[in-house]
Amino acid sequence: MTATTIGVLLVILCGIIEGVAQVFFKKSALAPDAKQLWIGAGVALFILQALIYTGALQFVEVSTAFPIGSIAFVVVAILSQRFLMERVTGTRWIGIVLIIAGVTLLAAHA
Amino acid sequence: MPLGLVFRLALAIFLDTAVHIVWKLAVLQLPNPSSVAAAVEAASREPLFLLVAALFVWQLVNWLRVLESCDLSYSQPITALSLILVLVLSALYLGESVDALKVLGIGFVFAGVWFISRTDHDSSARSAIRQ
Repeated sequence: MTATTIGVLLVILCGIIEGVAQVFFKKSALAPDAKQLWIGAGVALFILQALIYTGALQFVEVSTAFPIGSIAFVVVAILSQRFLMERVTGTRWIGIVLIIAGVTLLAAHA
Repeated sequence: MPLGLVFRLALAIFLDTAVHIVWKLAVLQLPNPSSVAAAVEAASREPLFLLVAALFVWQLVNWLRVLESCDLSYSQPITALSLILVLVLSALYLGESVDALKVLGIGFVFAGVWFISRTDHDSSARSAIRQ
């Protein structure tokens, strides 16, 4: 596995972590009793993401890493449908497919 | 569009771009670490990481002010212009590569963000239920 591949995988991991953190923040708004808990968990994930992203930038160009991080949009859509019972419309699925296509192109070309 | 909102949207694009360019600059200053702990220790002594943190806070404060003035679905595609700015500035100042496939990939991501932002959301319906 090359250093660039490791970098790309780390950026994708960052996108996944950011997506989960965003869902935690939404959970904090929906569950007032456990608000601080969800916010704390979200912030902890953001700090973890920052550390991993710093490592990823050692292996991959920022002009590649930044757009690949948009995979967080996809993670948010999937998780919010599964765990927050939000509706994901056809238009949003088109957006998700476009982001996956773009990320795949960038990752394969990195 | 109010002049103040134009300014805040422009600032959001600038800050989003600046965070990523400065972050990369900060990482380039780090020596090759022998372990994760050594990397964290080296990063804590690099002033550019403090600048990244400060830019992050400024970005958050400005973004919240943007959202007070306009819908997320309107502001998000505009601020996604930072994808293009990062591409241009990283090529100019960091010597990163720019080619057709990278531009195409970023184009797909930009279009994806635009489509996601066009989606209706049910905040108004929820507000009505609460009331």
